[in-house]
Amino acid sequence: MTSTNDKQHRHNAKPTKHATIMRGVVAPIFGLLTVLFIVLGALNLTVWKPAREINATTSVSGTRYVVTDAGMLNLLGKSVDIKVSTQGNQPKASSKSNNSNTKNAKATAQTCVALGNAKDATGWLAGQNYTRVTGLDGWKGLSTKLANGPKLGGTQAGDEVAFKDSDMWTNVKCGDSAISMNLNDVKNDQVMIVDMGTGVAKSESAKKFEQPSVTITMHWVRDQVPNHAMPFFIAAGVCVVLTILSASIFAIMANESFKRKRAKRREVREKAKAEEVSISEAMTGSIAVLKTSLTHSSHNHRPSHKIQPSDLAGAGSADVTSNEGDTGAAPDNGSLLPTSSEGGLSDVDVSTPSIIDPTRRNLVADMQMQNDTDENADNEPGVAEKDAAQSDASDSQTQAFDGTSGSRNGETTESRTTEPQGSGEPTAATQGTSGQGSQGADIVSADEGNPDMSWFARHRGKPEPESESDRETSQPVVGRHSRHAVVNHANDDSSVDQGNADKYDNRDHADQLDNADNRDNATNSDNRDGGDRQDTDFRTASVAVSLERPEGDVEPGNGEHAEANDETRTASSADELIDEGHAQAETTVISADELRDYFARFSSETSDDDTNGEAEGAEVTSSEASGDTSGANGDGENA
Amino acid sequence: MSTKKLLKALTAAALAAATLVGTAACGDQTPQPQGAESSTQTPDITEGQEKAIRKATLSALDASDKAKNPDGLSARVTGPALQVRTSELAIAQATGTMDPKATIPKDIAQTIIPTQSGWPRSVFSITTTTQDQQSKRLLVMTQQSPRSNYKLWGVVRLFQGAKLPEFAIPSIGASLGSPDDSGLSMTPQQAVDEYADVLTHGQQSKFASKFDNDYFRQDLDKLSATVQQGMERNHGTQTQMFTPVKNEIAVMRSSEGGDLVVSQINSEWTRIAGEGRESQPASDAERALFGQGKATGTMKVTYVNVLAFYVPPAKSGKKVVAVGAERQPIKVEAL
Repeated sequence: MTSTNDKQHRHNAKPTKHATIMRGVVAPIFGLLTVLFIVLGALNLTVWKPAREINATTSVSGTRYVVTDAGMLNLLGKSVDIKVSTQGNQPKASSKSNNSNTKNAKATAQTCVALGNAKDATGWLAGQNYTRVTGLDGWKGLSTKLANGPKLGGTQAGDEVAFKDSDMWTNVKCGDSAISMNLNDVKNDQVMIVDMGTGVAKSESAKKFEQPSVTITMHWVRDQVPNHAMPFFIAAGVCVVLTILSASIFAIMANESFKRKRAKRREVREKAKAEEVSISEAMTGSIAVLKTSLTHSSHNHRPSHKIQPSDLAGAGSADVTSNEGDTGAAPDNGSLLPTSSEGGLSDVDVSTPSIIDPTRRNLVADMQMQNDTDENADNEPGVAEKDAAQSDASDSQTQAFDGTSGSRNGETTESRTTEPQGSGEPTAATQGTSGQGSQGADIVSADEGNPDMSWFARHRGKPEPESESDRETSQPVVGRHSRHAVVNHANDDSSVDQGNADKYDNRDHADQLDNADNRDNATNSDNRDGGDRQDTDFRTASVAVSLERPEGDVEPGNGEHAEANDETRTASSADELIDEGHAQAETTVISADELRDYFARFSSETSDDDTNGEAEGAEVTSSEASGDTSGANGDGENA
Repeated sequence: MSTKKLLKALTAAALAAATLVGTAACGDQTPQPQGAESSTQTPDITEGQEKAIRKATLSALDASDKAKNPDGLSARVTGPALQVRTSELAIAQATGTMDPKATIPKDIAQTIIPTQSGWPRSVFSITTTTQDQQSKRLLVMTQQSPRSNYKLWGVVRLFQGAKLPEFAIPSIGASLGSPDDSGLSMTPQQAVDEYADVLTHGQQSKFASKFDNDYFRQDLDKLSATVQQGMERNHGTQTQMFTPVKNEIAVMRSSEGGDLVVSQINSEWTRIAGEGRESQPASDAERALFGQGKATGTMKVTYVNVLAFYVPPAKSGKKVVAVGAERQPIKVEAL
């Protein structure tokens, strides 16, 4: 409702000036920038793409030697092609140069190009003037510089070798006019030395000292061409994002309705937090509910659960959804939150929470209820109130269940609840169980007034489903079991379904209790400390039933079966289930110990030990102990 | 105020975009060469270059061996190696065959290339054993100046079982030493001088304790003893004087801390025959060198000895030990 208000409000609000500026001015600016950057990037990819091959040329004259700087040869790639062409090696000055001179000039004018170490080149050029090729001059030229070699100790004349004969060069090539050299994998400290020869300078006939000149061309093929387009595309991407943001979020952020909606959402969140119920609270609440329900005498006409203040106080959880109409809401997830439908219940009784899920049937409860109905028909009057109180949970469970099954269940449950009552076991772990009797009375009255309690009205007088069984089935701990138990009952699975299969469980347990008779009662009474015992009894009851079923049915899939089948377990199937459970319950006679063991196995949710009957009480709540493979049933259910 | 914040954000975004664009412009500058790091020393020559040098040297030796003429040797051989080789060739001329000990195998077992920036530089190469199972040779090739080439300076026959230290591999390059290296049990020059003294005086030398015994001294002692016996029969005398030659020394630092030192120690062996007898050459080599000379009562033979030592580090507790030697008479004189 709040959301709709906000929406209306937003529609009514005029766009703020801020929004207008953002959308109308800033966003288009960024859009234009985006386009601009994309265009520039595209240009850099195509027209302005850096060249892959670089040809750099320079002409050098004035010195005999030309040396590249270290790192020059591999400047733009590991390989480089060097071309050295000489011009004017022949003396031109005098036409009177004789042949011998020319020959000499030729012979010594040979240009040589060598590749060697930088330090070797420096050594060779000691005391000499030479030209350095220092780097690139733009992309087409080479920069040069004049330099002087360091002074080194003189060499004995006889020891001097020709340039091309030196041991120091790794590569030497000599030629008259043009020399090409392909160098691969040039190291950083390798340099190229060009020796233009001394012949020309020594030419006698030359009046003018003609220095030879060389043209040096270096050609690289680049492996990687720098990508100038990427920064532009990145900038374009940033601008696109900004365009979108400024057109949408930035414009909105200052909007009034946005703020308002944000505040509203915060409110809602805080409210929800206050209303939330933690899991532990829910569990203890249900246990408390069960306890109270068990101590109450069960009434078959128990209407919807009423959340008693004590329950709420103790467990912190309210939960009742016994109404048929309500069953769908809460029990589906086993939650104990009051649903909206509960809001309609003016007198929700906290002490006897119960979860009614028509889809979760427990054949054990069915049978139990049936038996109770049969056996304890006479208990109704006196027990009605108590039963009603006890079986709040069971009632709700049975109600939903009973919606399908009918009076039989009510009876069975009633009888069931009476038994534990007789032993004085508390039905549920809820606090304030003492008041259950009165609560039952309250409940009874409440039931009458509650339209949801029509079922109870219908079934008034029938023994309530055993509250303890109800309670137990509704226990979250056993709840899972019960759910499976429902299925199992149908499928002959043992499982200690509780909770989900509340109604079924109630009946089954009621039946079981009847069958188990005093034994169960005795055990129940023994265990009736808290909901644990209840659960134990309950479990044993259900176990008894499930024992009849082949354990192979107990599989994790059963849970799914249960869930899937729950929905299908409509009124039509309920009867069948009841019949089955009923029949089976009748046919089974199992000792309480066996039941306990069996039940313990299934009831324990976490441990894999084999059950020991003694631990039942503890087992219920702690979910420890026994689980064997069929306890996997329980485990699977738990999972 | 959100507007202010927004403006800030927008400004930042615009600046970021501008920066991105700006960086694109950086890429267009031409790269500049980065000079080779001077800190990293690189080997002076590659192994290929060493092989080429050695090949050239050996071919020069072969050529002169064939011609039994040392004329073409000076281009590739220098120092004591040249002297030894010249003598061997002269003897070969007289005897008709080269001394087998002059053989130098073509292949090497190891080469030690320095990272020397200046000159002179030396490259040590250790050959394999010869075909007739003679010991390995240690070749020392030296380049005196940048404008000259590498030349074979010294050849030493390593003693059997002599242990050489470890050196850095050729791709990394070893360190060239100097005659006055410190951190050793004695400087290389000291080692040479004192060893010469020990050779001269034998056990009476005050440095005798500093040197381990070695094959060269043993051999020399044996020879001296033999000659001494002969001399004494004739009441003659003999002396040997060992003198290190200045500046004829090559030092290479090993990676263990010690130095491998190769140096030339010349010696003069003076034999004075007693009782008016003639002092004759004591070996075939001497005889070949002496040739047709006229023997007198005194004979002085000049030997070139090339010794290789390992001088250990100072704290190692080891003694200096000779690992190889070459001994060749180069001159026989009848005084």
